Formats: sequence, structure tokens, C-alpha cells
Amino acid sequence: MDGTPFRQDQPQVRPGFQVQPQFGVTYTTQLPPSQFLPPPPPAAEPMLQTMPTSELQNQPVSGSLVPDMTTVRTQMHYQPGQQQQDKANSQNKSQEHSQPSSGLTPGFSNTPGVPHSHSHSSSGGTSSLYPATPAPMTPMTPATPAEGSGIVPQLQNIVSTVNLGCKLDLKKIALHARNAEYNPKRFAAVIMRIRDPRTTALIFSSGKMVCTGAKSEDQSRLAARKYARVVQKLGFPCKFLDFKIQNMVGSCDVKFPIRLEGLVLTHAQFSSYEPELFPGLIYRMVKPRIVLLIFVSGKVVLTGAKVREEIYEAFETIYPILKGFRKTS
Amino acid sequence: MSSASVCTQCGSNNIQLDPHFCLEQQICTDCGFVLEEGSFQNDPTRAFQSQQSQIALPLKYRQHNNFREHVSKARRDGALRVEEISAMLRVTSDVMVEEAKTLFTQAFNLKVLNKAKREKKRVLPGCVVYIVCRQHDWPILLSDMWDLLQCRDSVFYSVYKVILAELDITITVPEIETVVPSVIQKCGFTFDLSDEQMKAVTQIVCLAKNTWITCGRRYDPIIIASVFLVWKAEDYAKRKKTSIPKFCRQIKFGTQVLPMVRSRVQEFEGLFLKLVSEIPWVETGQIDKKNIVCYLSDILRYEKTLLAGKYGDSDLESDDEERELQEKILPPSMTNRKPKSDVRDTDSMTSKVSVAVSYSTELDENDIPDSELHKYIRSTKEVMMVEDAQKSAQEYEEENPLKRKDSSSSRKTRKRKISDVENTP
Repeated sequence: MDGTPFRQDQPQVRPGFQVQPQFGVTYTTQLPPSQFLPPPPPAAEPMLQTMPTSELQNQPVSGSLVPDMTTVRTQMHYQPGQQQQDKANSQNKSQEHSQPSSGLTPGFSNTPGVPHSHSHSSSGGTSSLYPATPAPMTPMTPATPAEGSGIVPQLQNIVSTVNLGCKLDLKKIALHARNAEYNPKRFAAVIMRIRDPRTTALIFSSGKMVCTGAKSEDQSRLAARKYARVVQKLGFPCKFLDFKIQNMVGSCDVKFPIRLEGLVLTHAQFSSYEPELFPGLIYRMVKPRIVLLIFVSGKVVLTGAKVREEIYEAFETIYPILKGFRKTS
Repeated sequence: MSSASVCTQCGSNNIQLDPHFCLEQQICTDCGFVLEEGSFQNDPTRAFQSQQSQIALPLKYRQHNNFREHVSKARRDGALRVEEISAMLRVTSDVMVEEAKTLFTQAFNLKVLNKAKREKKRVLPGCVVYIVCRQHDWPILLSDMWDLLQCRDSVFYSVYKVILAELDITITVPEIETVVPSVIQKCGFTFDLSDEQMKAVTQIVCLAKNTWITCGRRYDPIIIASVFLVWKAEDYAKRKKTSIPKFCRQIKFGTQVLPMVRSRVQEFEGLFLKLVSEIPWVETGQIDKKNIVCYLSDILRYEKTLLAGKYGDSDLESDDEERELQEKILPPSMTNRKPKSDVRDTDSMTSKVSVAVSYSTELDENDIPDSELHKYIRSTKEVMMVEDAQKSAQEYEEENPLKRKDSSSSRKTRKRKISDVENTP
């Protein structure tokens, strides 16, 4: 395979979504915080086409954190309440992989406002490999540090579905696959597991598959492709159609105790708190449509998102509310 | 049905309409001749009314059977059940009972609950009574209702949430101090608590509320733990060796709440140790968790001053997290943080490493390297061994058709996992 582009693990940014960077907010805590980076030159050629496959394969992918652009994120602050367009097909990504260099390169992947010369059809199941051209975004302007929480929720679980495009014999899969379990009396699907990324898949006889346990969008896609390839190796004419992320779960810690009884009194229409049944408060945010589990220890779990920006926006919306219930009255 | 004016038999004019069951007949009163009887085809009351998509029954039938106000058996039984539950809870107010019945009628007609399982419909009267009691600020808990109804907590809560959402009702959880007398009565202790002891129990419960112990926790174990400490402090010399399990055995549901009561007692003792260190005339060197109850009266008397000493210099934004955790009063879930295991650290590391993934609909070798792929696919030898094992297992089952331990065949009622409530972060 020559010239096949590979997309690096990047946070998804929906076209049209306005982002503003903020100092002090990084996605990867292992790296030192990067400063505001200038946008790359416009009309950049898609570097993936010129990049030989061998260079991609020689890149370190495990163990070490190489300070290249693949793991460097620009500091971004997602303003809550901004209108977001519905995310198109997952293939419509706006970032691309640039040629790796020895030092820190500009955050090509997360930089908004980068025009792309190529286009990509948004329908699922096409053979085009490049993500679609995104809508131009507003240029990054630094926001004041006091506006943001300074805390970034970490993704803990991603649930995705894909259509393998053919009927499957589950008994044959359970017989020939080492990592599969199948008990038709209990559940009408094969449960398959792989070690890297550590995920679990439910494979149904209709050819549909559910993949759970990944920590990022691309890890979920990679894991789903691995499962599909295993099934293909067992003799089925599998494809990889209509991959879609159905749910994302994130969690974070605000580092201060929260008075849940006060919160349920002031936000009764959104909150549900029954200590007899569950120790956390269930907050159903309307915009974005996210469910938050808020605990007295300050830990917050966010779930129900289709894209990670919804999780970030929901947390930025709830953080000032939680700060109001920080101490005892 | 056309009305005849003259009898064709005798020529009499005395024609009368006789409602013979559900069919009207024209009868001559002189000779008794039936001139005309109602026809199903001609009777307008039997015409199919497409607007209402119902076949209208004859007027007499409807009047006799009170058709419009017909109440189903399930609804009647539910209304009776509402009255029974109200009587069990000693709801003497007729207004509250009528409100409960009205709410039951509204909830019964909800489309969501129409298709619900019978198990959920059975708990509907209990949910309704609970909602009405809470609307009138009764100190009643959810756990009281599902103990009374002998139902699963998840089933009760699901119906409860549906009613609140569909009928737009807001119900708040009662304050713990209002529930203390009812919980003590429910426990059925073998001893009586004096007024001073009740006051001390209420004070301990309020102290727990101010120090994060009640947040996110069930009320029963906190109140039972408070009673245990007050009872122990009353006659420490005799009762110092009484263990918590022995104390809980006298309670009806003591074994269920024992783990929670034990952890609450430990949290109370830890809190008292922190507070007693602020009392100037107490030598902290000789005090431990076993004899801290001896100083309970002093702690409760000077509670506000002692708490102010702990909260006065509180600065939760301080950098010294260890000092914060040890000296300040924080929720137990923040102070009892378990160290993260190594497995989680490696997972978090791998999640941050870059991942190369293809967007093609066609699968190829680059999706998974062959070295990894072979780990997940059995060799032909292994497949043969598995097939042989499956055949032999099948033959054994056919020869010995005994009871099989299969999860699909046996349904165990799911018991409420009390420990799950405590193990959440």
C-alpha cells in the first residue's frame, strides 16, 4: 500500500465549531504546556501523500512520548453555549498529519482555519481515504485564564458500532477465534476481546458489531478494524461500513467537596439526588445533552456525548455551578 | 324502526313501545300482537360510528350498565391498595388520601405505565402515597416504602421517576434530623431513649451533616451509629465491650446495615478525635477511638467552637494536600483515597500515545499485524481439540440429563446490593 494516508490520534473538532485557545489547558499532562502556536501556512499540500509508509511504521507508537506534533495539542478553550453543528461522518476530519520533525512543529492537527486542497465525500462506505474539507474556523485568540476551569475531562470509555456488511456464523467464529466466547442461551452474540487497544466487541450474526472500552476515538476505530480483520481472516467477506461513535464517557476531579443537597435545591429541574439509592447527584444538562454524575468528593463523570467537545463544554458549564457549592453554609 | 299506528290484527289504536331487553317492540295492548320489533340493521343506536371508531351500544344497555363511567378492575384494586397503604402508614387525613387517589388515577392513565410490567404496576399505589406524603413534608424515606411494599428498589424508583417526570412533580429528600424519630421507631431497639439521649442523637446527626458524613449516604446507618455511640457513652464502664454486631442484632434489619453502621461509627470516632484535639483541657495522648465516647458530651456542647477551629483557617486551595487531608474536615471519600494500581497507569499511558488508523472501508494487513493476528486465531490442531471437547461434553449431557447450572434457566431475584452504595467514589 503506497500513499495510504494514516491519520494520527487527534481530538475531533467539528467544522464550524469556534474554538479559542487558553493558556494552562493541555490535553496531555505528560508533556510540558505548549505555548500559543502560529497557524501553519495556508494551502498546505496534504503531507500524507508524500510521506512514505516506512516512515510511518518506524515511528515509535508505544512506551515513549515523542515530542512531535502527534502528541502535542494546542491549548484550546471551548466556550460553553456556542452553537455546534451536527458532526458529520467521522471521516470528515479537519486535521491531517504533517511531516514529523525533530522538534516541536506547529500544531497542524488542531489548528483551525487551515484550508485543505482536497475534498472528501461524507457518505459512509466510500473508498475515499481523506477527510472532508472543514469549514473555516475563526483564528485563535487567547482567552483570559480566569474564564476556564483549568481542568480537562479525561475520556474513559467510548462505545462505537460498525457494520461488517455480511452475515456471520457465530459458532464458526467462536470455534476458530481464541479470544471469543459465545453462549447463545445467555446472549445472542460473540464476545471478543483484544489486548491492544484493550477493548471488548459484541459481534452479532447480522454482521453488526459493537466495540467498547477504548479511550479515544481513533483507538476505538483501530480496535474495531482489528476485530473486523480477525473475522475476515476466519473466512467471511467483511468490510468496514458506517463506523459511528455512539457514546463517550469522560471523568474529572474538581478537587473540592460539593454540597449535593444545595445543588439539588437550586437546580431541581435538572438534578436528581436520592442518597437512598445512589450516592451521586444525576444532573441532566440540556445543552449540550449530557448526563453528569456529581459526587461529594468532587469527582464528576460525564456521559452521553457523541463528540468530545460536548464533554468539554458540559464540564465548563457545570464548573462555575459546582464552585458555588464548594463549602458548607 | 317505523312506528305503526293501527294494529293489523284487531285494528286497535293502543300501540305501545315495550323495551324487551335491549330491543324495542311495538305491541298492541288489546290483543298482545307484536306489530314490529327492533332490527339491528335499522336501529340507529347500533349504527357504526366511524368518528368514535366504536360500535355504539343501545341506550338502555348503556344506561343500565353505566357504560361511560366504567372503571376497570385494575384501577379499582389500585385505589383500594392506595387506601390500604395509607392506613398502614397511618395517614389519617382524608385530604391526603383523596389526593393520593387522584394522583393514582392520573398516573394509571399514563401511556408509559400502560405498557409496563405487572411488577411495576403493583408498586404504583405505593409511589403515589409516598409522593403525597412528601408533598406534605412527612419524614418518610424511599427505603421505608420498598420495605413496606416488599419490592425491589430499582422497580420502585423507576416508577417513581416516571411519575415525577410525566406529571411534572418536584419532590425533595427529607432532612436527616426530621427522620431520626421515625427511624429509631422503625429499628425497634430493646431499650428506650430518654429526651436527653434523643437530643444527643439529633445533635450527632446534625454534626454529621455539617461535616460531610451524611452527603450521599443512607440515613439509617448514620442514625443507628449515633444511637450506638450515645447508648455506649451513657454507661461506658458496662458497655465499652459491646461490639457493633451485637448491638445491631437487636434491630430487625440489623444484619443488612451492619457493614455501613460499622464504617459510620469509625468515621464518627475519627471526627470526634479531630474535634477533641481542639479542647484545651483534654489530654489527647490518652484518647483513642475506644474511649472517645467519654468526651461526647463536651464535643456536642462546644460543637460550634470546635468546628470553627477546624474551618476557620480552611483554605482548600492550599498546596499542602497532605495537611489538608489529615487536619481539615473533608468528605470521607476524599480522605480515603486508594492508590491507583499499576494497571491503570499503563492504560493511561497507552491512551496518550499516537494511534495510526485507516479510514478505508476495505480491510487489509495494515489494520492488524500478522504477529498479533495469529494470537487471536486458533490453529487447526486447537480447533480439532475444541471440537472433540465439545462433542464429549455433549455426549455426557445426553447420557446424564441432570439439572444443569445454566444462568438462563434459573432466575434469581436480584437482591439490593447494599455494599455497592458504599463502594462508589
